[in-house]
Amino acid sequence: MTLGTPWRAVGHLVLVLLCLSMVVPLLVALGMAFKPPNEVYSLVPWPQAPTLDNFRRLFEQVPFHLYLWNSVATTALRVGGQIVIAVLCAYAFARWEFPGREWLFGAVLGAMMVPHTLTMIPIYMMIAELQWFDTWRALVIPNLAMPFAVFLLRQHFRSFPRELFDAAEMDGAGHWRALWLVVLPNLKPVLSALAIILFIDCWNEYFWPLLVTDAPESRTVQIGIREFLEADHNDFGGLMAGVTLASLPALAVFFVFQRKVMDTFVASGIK
Amino acid sequence: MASISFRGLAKHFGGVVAVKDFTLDVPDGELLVLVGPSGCGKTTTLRMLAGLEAPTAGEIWLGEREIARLPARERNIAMVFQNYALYPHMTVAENVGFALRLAGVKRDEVARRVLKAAEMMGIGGLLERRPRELSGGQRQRVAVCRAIVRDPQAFLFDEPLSNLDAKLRMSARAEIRRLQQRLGVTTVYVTHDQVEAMTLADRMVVMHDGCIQQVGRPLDIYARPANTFVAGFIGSPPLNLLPVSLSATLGLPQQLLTMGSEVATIGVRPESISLRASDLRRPLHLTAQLELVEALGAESLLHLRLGEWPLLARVPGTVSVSAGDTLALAMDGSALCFFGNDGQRIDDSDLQLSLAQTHNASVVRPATGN
Repeated sequence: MTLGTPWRAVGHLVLVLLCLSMVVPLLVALGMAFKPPNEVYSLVPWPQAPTLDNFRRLFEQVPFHLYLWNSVATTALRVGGQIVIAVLCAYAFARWEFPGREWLFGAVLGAMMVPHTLTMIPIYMMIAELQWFDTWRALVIPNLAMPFAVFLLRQHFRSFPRELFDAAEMDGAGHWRALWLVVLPNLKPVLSALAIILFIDCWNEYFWPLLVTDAPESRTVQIGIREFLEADHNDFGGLMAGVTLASLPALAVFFVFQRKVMDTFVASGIK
Repeated sequence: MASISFRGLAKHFGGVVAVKDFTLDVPDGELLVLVGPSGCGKTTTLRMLAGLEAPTAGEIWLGEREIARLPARERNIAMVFQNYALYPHMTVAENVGFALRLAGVKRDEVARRVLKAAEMMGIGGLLERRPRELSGGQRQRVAVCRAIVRDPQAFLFDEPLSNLDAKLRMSARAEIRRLQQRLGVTTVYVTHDQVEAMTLADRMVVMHDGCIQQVGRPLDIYARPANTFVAGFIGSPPLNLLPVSLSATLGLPQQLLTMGSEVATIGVRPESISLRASDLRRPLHLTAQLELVEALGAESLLHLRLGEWPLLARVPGTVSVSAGDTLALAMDGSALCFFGNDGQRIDDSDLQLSLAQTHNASVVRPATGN
C-alpha cells in the first residue's frame, strides 16, 4: 500500500520529531560538556568559548579513568562470556537430542520470567559469602547466563537450514567445527544484534554495581557520574562531560555493529 | 571405490516405519537409482548410508568395513544435496575445498585439487564467486564438484536435479552419467522421477512404503514389472491396469479366467495399443471410445474408454482421430502382463503359451476402421 503525499509528509514529520527527541538531549549534553561555567545556563546549545576544563575537573575530582576502565573491562568480559555461553547452550538445545531437553529448555524460559529484583538479594548474599565485593567477578559472573540470549539463538539455530548442517557433517566437521566454521559466520547479523543489546544492557547498569561495589577504584562509570555529582552538586558542565564520555562507547559499539548488520543484509542479497 | 551392501536395514521414527528389511548389494562402480513416490523411504535409506540418520536395525557394508554406526565424517562418502547446500559465506573454491581443509590437506594441495575438479566440471572461472552469484545450474555443478574433489569411496545424490528447469535437467542428467562412468565410483542416486531413474540407472530399485518392490535393470523392470505398484509407477504414461473381467472384451481367451484362477488384473502398455493390427505380432482386437487426444508432436496420447474403464494409448503423432470417435484398435497380446489378487505379477509363460495357442487356432479377424 502506498500512502498519498500528504500522509507521507505527516509520517516523515513524526519520524523527524521522534528523531529529534532522541538526538537533542544528546547534543545538549555534548554542547554543555564543552561550555565554560558562565555559559552553562545559557539557552544556546553550543558553547561560545569551548573549553576542556569540564573534562579536566572530572578526572581531577574523581578517578574517572578507573570508572571507565572498570566499565569497559567488565562489560567486555560479561558480554563476551554471555555470548559464548548462550551460543553453546542454544546449539545444544537446537541440535542435540537428549532426555529432558524440552523440560530443561522450559526451565531456561522460566528463568527468563523471574524478575531481576527478585533474585538480587539471594545473589547479593552469595556475593557476600564469597567475599567478592569490590571485584570484577561480582560484576561479571552473576550475569553470565542470559536466558533471553539462549532463547534468541536457539530459534536461529533451529531455523538454520538442516542441509548445511548435513553438508558440514559429510565434509567431515564435528559439532565444534560445524558451529564455528559454518553456522556462526552465517549468523553474524543475529550475533551483532545480540551483542548490541547485551552491551547496552550491561553498560547502562546502575543498581547492581551500586550494590556490590563500594571502593572508588572498583566502581563503574554510571556510578562514577553520580559520585562526581555528589562531590559538587552544581557542576553541570563536569556532569555533562561525564555523560558524554559514558555515551561514547555505547554509540561506537552501536555504529560498528549496526554497520555489520547492514553489511550482512546487503551482502546476502536481501535489500 | 568400493561395493556397498545393505543387510536388513530398517528405520523407525517413533511408531512410523520408514524403511524395513532393506537388503541389497551394490557392486563396485555401479550407479544404483532408488526411485519411488515421496515417503517411500528412499531418502531415509540414503541418509542412513550417508551417516546422517542412525538405522534402527541392520548393517551397511562399504567394501570391507561395516559403517552403519560410524559418524558421517569417518565414512569417506560424499553427497550432493537436493538444494545443493553450498555454504553461503564461502566462495566456490572454499566450498569445494572445505572437506579437504578439514581433513588437514595442505593449502597448495587443496588449491590444486579444487582447480582440477572445477575444471572437470567446467566451473574453473567461477572459483572466486559466492553461491548467491551463481545460477541454479552452476550451483548444482559446484555441489557435484564438492563431492568429486574428495575422491570418496561412494557418491550419494539426493534428488540433485529437482530444482533445475526441464531443459537443464536433461543435460545435467547426461553429464552426471558421463561423470560417473568416467570416475567409476559406486553411486547411489535418489529420485522420485522415474524418467530420471530409467535414463541414469545401471540398476534401479523401486521402493514403496519402506519396502523394496523390485530391483533390476531399467528395461527389465519396464518390461516385467513385479507388481501392480511398479507397473503403475514406471513408464510415462504408466501401464494400463484392467480388471480380468474385461478379458472377453479384449479378445483374450476365456481360459484366462480359469487358468490357475489367480489373474485379477491385466496390464497393457500404452504403446502396445495400435490403430493398425498389421503392426503387431499377435494382435488382439477391441473397440473403444475416444474421449480426448493429447497431441505431443511426435506422438499422441489417446484417452480411451473401454466400457467404464479408462485406457491410455500412445500412437504416432501422424494419426488423425478426434474425440468422440469409436475406434477399432488392436493390442499386442505378447506384451501383456498379468497380476494376481495380491497385486503380484504372475509368471506368465503358461498364460502366454495358452494365449499363443488360442491365437493361432482362431481366425485372424481383418483389421477395420483404420
